[in-house]
Amino acid sequence: MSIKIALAGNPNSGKTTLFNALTGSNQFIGNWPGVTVEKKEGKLKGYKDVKIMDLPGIYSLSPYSLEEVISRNYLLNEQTDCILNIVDGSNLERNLFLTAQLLELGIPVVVAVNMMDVVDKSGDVINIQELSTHLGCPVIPISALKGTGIQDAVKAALNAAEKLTIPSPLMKLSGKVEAALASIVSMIDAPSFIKRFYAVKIFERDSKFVETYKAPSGAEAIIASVEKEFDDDSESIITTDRYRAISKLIGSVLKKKKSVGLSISDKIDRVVTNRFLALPIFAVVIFIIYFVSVTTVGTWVTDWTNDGLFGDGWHLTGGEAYEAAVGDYEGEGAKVEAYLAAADKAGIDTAGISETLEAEEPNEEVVSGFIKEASAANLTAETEIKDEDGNVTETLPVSLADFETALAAEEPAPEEFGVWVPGISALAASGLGAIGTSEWLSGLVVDGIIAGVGAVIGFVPQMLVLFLFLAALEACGYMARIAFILDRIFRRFGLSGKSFIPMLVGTGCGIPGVMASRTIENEKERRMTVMITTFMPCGAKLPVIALISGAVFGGVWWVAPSAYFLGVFSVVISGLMLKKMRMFASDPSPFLMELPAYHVPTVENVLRSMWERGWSFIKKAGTLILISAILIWFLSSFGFTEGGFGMVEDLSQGLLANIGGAIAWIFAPLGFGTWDATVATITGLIAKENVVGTMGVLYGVAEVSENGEEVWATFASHFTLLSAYTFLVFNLYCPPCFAAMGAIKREMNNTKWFLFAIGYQILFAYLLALIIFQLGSLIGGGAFTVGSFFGFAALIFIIFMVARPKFRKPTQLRDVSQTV
Amino acid sequence: MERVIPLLLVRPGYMSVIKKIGGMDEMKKRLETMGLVIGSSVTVFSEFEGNLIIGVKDSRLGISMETAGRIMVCEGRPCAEIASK
Repeated sequence: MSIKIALAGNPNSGKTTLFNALTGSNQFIGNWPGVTVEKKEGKLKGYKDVKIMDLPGIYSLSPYSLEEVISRNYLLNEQTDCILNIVDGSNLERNLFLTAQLLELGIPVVVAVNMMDVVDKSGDVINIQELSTHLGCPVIPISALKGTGIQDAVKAALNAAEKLTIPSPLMKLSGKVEAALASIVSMIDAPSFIKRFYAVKIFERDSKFVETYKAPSGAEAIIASVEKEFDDDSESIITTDRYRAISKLIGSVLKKKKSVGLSISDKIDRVVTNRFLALPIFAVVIFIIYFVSVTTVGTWVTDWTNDGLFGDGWHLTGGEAYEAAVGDYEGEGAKVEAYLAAADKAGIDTAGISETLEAEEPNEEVVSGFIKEASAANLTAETEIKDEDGNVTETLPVSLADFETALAAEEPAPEEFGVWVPGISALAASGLGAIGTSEWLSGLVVDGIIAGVGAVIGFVPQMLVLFLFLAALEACGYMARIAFILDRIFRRFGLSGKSFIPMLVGTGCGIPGVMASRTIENEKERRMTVMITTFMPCGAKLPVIALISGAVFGGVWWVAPSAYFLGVFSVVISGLMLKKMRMFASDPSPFLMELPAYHVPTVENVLRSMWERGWSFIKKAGTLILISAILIWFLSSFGFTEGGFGMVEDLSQGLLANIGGAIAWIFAPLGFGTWDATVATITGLIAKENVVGTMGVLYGVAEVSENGEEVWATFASHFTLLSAYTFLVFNLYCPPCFAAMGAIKREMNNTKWFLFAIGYQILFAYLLALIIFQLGSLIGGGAFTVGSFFGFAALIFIIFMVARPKFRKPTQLRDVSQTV
Repeated sequence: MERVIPLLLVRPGYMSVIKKIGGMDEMKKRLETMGLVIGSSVTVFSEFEGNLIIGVKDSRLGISMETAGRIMVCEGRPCAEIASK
């Protein structure tokens, strides 16, 4: 016989720690059907057929939050054999409120009083025996953190499940309420063990409950008379009365040591939420996290993943010597090029030598012929040494002798320098070559799948570092304070203080950013956050910014900051516009959040939480990105040529180029209506840094560096300053990569909302780029055209959407009048 | 008779007793669920930009000023433990 135990308790009661202790690694994490609330199930360690269901952390069984409704439906409709109710011993009174409700469900209950170590240390004494008598169910003291008492609780739960001992609490509500409940009980027809629960729900006029169970006709009169007597609504009467009963109970079971001043946690709060220090402290914490995870540790690991694991390979030892050798070799190559260029200028034909140098075995005759001609002309040249950012640091003269030495230079082989581990991409390429795979298949695997998926997986290490910090912040209790501090600021544009975290994560990668929006309870605020989180420039957008600012703007300082500024601006403007729309219109949900006491988190919990988030990121990248990578690869490597349909030499002949050409007109009002810019935008949907790679392919450079330095000159010739900037703007703020869109779809959990979000992002990016291009052209001295008209129209439209009065539901007006 | 004022006006370090919570909506129910019921005592710990950190039962809650304005309490008295700091 299999047994199902439901784990229920308040948030911050140590439920997750207990669940991990009970199930170990036997966990299955999913979603409750139809909602984005996490569902965790596990098998009890050491028992074959005992399932543990971890219910969401809740304060009560009322119908006001998704978590409460889910827990309630689960307990009422699924055959649960026992409820293991974990309560925080250091906050007994509030925690017992949920317990009191659970005791009425007609299901065996075992109460585990957690944090007994903390209680003992503070000098308080809980009379467990007395508590058990009053609650009418077994009560077990435990410490989930220290691992004490857990087995006793398990045994008690299994015992209660087997014997089916329904709790019989002594706790009673006040006389008049009990009398009213008793008369409702006599009116209803239900199994006797659940009658009281039904009666309470009918008395409370619980909206969700009354939908499925019709209240008896006589009940309303009874409820109304009690309400009149207490001058309050029936639900509040029950709540207040429950707390009164619990207070009385607490008086007899809890002996509190006289408290001495502020607790450590309160003292920390005095500093951390101090009116002057709160924001500076917050800024420092965020800066450290961002700095470590995105710029230092994260970047090292990400570079290794991209260039090593998914690239050619990496050095275990001897890496520096190899780097130096490569640098030397590139320097020699530059000398050859410079010399050839000079020869070209001097009127010497270089076509022949250039061609033969490309070949594996250069034709010696051609080379010596060229050298003779050059020596006759007494030709010298100059080469420029550039640093990483492409700035010229040195100019070297190149004589004929230098040229000859340079020609003789050989490319260093990485294997010769220390221990070299080939990357997946290199391995796959050589492996597929060895077994004689056809060209297209090897292209699909190496360029399509490995390159596409690798580009996204490359962010995993960086994300894990970021998740590690976030998990630690969450576990220690500071995250709740961040939400508290930022609430006032974010409220102004329709978001909550909790919207900050998704946006912070989004500057690393949009996928986990969107997923992080889950902690926002209010559905409207959560949807809005999901929609606008990806406006923050993520890590993959940085190469695109670098390309534009380097190629077209000559590396001026303001392009990159302006991208971030426009990102924040987009978030704010979108917030202001969206909160006035009918679908988002509601009274801003006032802030109400428990601030758990600060404590040192356990390593296991932090690592587990980091891994859970990281894993769902990997799963996302592994599925959606795989499919879209294959699709884009196919579209770009196949096309119609003279020989019919087949694989094409380069991107410009592929199907994608045809598609790009067909829809390029759409972008004409934004200034970049060319097929190549359109194709780059499309490939950017796989991963934004593909924009740079695509430009490289289209402009005929096989391999481009991170910032695309090699294509700068060609790129600049295809764009004006203004059109390059609008190209950047559109690519940064239009819907992100497919994987992030997948995350948006999942979090929205609704196709209509998903389409609305994507549609909004496209429209917003388009209008923003339109305004910038059209108004920019006018300011730059252009004539007033139809385009300028639409530019102004878009600007006025956005201003109107921001400034128009808020949409109000008529019912809200009534609410207001009631409070006054 | 003691004066009844919104919790919003209670200064940090003061303790007061809840007399009534205005309105009939979900927020009222949520507050009650968290232990803010008639007769329970509330201590204001600190204030940030109008939002309050309050102590109810043995927990700390962050609440916005709009919410604090609806919680009517009898005028607070200094809570010795906190005010002395």
